[in-house]
Amino acid sequence: MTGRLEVRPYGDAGLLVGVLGDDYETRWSMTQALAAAVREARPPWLVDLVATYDHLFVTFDPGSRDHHGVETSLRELDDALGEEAAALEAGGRTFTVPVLFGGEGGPDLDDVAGELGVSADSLVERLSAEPWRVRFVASPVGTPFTDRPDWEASVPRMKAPRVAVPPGSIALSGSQSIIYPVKSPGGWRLVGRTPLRLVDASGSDDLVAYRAGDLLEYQPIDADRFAELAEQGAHLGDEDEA
Amino acid sequence: MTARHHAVHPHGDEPPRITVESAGSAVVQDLGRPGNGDKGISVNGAADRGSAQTANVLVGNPPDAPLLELAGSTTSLRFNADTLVAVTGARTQPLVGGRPAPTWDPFVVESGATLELPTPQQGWRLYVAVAGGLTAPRLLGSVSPDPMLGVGRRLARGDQLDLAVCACGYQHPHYGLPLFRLGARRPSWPSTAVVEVTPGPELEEFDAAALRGPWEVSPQSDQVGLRAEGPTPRRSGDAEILSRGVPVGAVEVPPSGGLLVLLYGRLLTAGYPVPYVSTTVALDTLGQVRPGDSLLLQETDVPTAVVRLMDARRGLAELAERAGTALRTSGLQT
Repeated sequence: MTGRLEVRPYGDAGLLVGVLGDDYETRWSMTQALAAAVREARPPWLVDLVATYDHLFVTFDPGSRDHHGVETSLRELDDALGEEAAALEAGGRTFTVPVLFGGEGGPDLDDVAGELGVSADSLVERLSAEPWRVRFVASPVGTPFTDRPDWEASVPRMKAPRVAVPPGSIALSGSQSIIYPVKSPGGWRLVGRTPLRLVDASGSDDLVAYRAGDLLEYQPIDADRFAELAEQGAHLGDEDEA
Repeated sequence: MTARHHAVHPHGDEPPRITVESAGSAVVQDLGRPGNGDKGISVNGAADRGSAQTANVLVGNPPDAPLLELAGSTTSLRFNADTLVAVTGARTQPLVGGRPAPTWDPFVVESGATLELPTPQQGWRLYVAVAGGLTAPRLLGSVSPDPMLGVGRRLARGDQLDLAVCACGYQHPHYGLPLFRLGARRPSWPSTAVVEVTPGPELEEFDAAALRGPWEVSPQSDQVGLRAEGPTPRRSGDAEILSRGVPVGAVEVPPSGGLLVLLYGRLLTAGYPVPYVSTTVALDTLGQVRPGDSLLLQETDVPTAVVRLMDARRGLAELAERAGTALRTSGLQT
């Protein structure tokens, strides 16, 4: 249990639950564990759940249960939490993400390297040195929001967001990294691109292979390998499920 | 005898369908894809849900059946089979074969006739439901357009929409006239929209009076969010807000100025302060504002907002019951 939830109304059909805790990792793992417990319990009032770094946004049917009742249920679920939080982190799977850094697919690589005071090669090396942990999956469509303990750079966003970022773009902002799963507008800085498809909208499988707690490992590839993988139309997670 | 036949081919082998003569902004719409927040998929769906659900129940459909949503445009549809239709939403004067047809009550469009829907005089979005609903490809249970998922599209001139059923053989002397007076609530859409909001997590960091407005609705608005222009409200706090889930209806104060009110196509997470959240009922109003309209935020509390929502639900359920009885009694629905 976290024992420390800050629950506030978030509209007539929502609650915003802040998970307090001593440090970033604790807050995140407790948030994700509580989200997993709510999903598992499948209460009849539940409409939707968005779990992020240290907040749970719960959408519910106020015709089925009122705000106070939902808060009580959430606190009970939280009280009953055991070792799930630790298990979430330990159980993360690792996915390899082949990335062609720089060039057309990574137009901001040189600028970002310059801002961080390193060479482009050195930046690529650092981005690929350790895996990035998926903190949550959000918009647009299955975007993995990742970070890692040893990456404390603070990368500024674009002043004017791009109208259309190509799918598969590897992007940085603040101390986080994301992969754009679909073509969409975006203001993050683009350092490379993976030829793998992230989203499978066929409906037969999960929309994306990864989930909160998993690790994404950027693996530099060259243009030939990029072309080869793009030709195959491979999806992320097709091969490796470590 | 029932007037409703499945798979009737009114003109030889031609199945019952609508041909789009002039599309305007029409899309096939429903109530979207709720419950996919963990996948990063937005809800989307009809912007004015009250009007969309009302149109559906007036023709005997489930409230979430696929129907047409038109936004601020003129649309013209030709029917090749007698069809039970209802038009709701923004204020306009529909025409069937050039003669005025009702809104907020069901009527029959005669085989071969054209239903014209002029650009609304008040409000922004029209809903056109046909008995049996429209058929369209579904993804995750919904036909709703989602530009991020790359599904759904605007209709184009010449498109054909298959009808699941027709009102073939229904004998009515006055096509295009209302069949019943079912007493659906008809909202009005004044050019100053009063939007009821409940306090959000950062209300204390703002001067509530500075948030009230009036705000001017920007033409930059879309299904993701409604941009409202006006003086930038000063925030007393400066704590960075880590990205967190945001509700449809969240009133955000972005650093670029004005307000951003999130609509059904909103991205699921954001890091802007949220002083208010629109009530669920007021989201329908937000779906009907036009660029250039004024917005006034009016604070209410959560229990009051929930009571209004339950009232609206009850009203819809009662209307569905009246419509069902009327349609069954007249043989339009089995």
